[in-house]
Amino acid sequence: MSITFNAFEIFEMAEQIERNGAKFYRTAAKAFKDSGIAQTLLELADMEDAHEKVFADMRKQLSEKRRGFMAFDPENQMALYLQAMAGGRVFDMKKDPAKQLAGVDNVADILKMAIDAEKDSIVFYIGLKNFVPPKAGKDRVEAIINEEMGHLILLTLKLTVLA
Amino acid sequence: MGPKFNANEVFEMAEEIERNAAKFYRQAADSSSDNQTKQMLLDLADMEDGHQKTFAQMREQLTGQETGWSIFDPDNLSVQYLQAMADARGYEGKITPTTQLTGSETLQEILEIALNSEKESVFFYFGLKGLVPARAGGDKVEAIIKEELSHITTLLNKLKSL
Repeated sequence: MSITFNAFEIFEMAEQIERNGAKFYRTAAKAFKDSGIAQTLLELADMEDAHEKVFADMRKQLSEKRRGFMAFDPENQMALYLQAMAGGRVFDMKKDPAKQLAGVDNVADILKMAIDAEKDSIVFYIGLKNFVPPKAGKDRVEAIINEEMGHLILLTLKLTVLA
Repeated sequence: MGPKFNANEVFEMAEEIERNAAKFYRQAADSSSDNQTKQMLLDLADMEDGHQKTFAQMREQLTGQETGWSIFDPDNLSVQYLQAMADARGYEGKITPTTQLTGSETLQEILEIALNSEKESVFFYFGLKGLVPARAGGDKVEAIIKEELSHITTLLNKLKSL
């Protein structure tokens, strides 16, 4: 049995990834408000909010025709990829990101969790970019990937400083 | 942060990633008793061999001028990204394909190591693609990224079937 997602649902997933990311960063900033990275975490949360809005905007602009996969992905390869990625093992959309932080008591662990989450987002969006034609906003997905790459660089540098 | 790699070295790193992945898949295939799983792992190893050859060919085709970064990465973003990837790889507690398998790993553990490794490859090649102009084979890197994404699909579906 396979569950198939359409383009509309794929964008909804991207929005949820960003919502979860923002919630994770805000919860972490609150928990580590005196750590010196709280402001960075809040800025990252704000950027995830902006990404969510971009994906929501792209979803709203989908025409009825483009809501299905075929117009986007004639070989269905990227649809299968996104479906596998969203299948629960990489992204569990129902998991509360704030609960992930329960019991975490040091900044290094927060940064590692954030790095892993950013990597999963990037790898999902790289697939998404291949799925979105230029006229439907491929460059906007590319811009978000570049920003997530920037987050990854920042978080990795922070982790390196702590080591 | 200044650049620490040149183009030649980055392609060598990509080749090393592919060699490690192929070796890992063959080692995992050796320890697999299920024929279907063994074949899947050997097929993945063969594809990684093909990628390694592509990167080696791209490295050999670099001109003297292109071995430097300046014409590839004017804003230095891709170099920073690759550097961050290299720094983040194998941070404490992370198992990588270079870890010697003991033979007692479960199939799930093997697939999870492979999945993490494929993701790391995709990040690295995405950064690499930003450095490679189309005329120097940017489309080949893009094709390899798509194949690595399809490996992720294969591994995730296999994990789901367990």
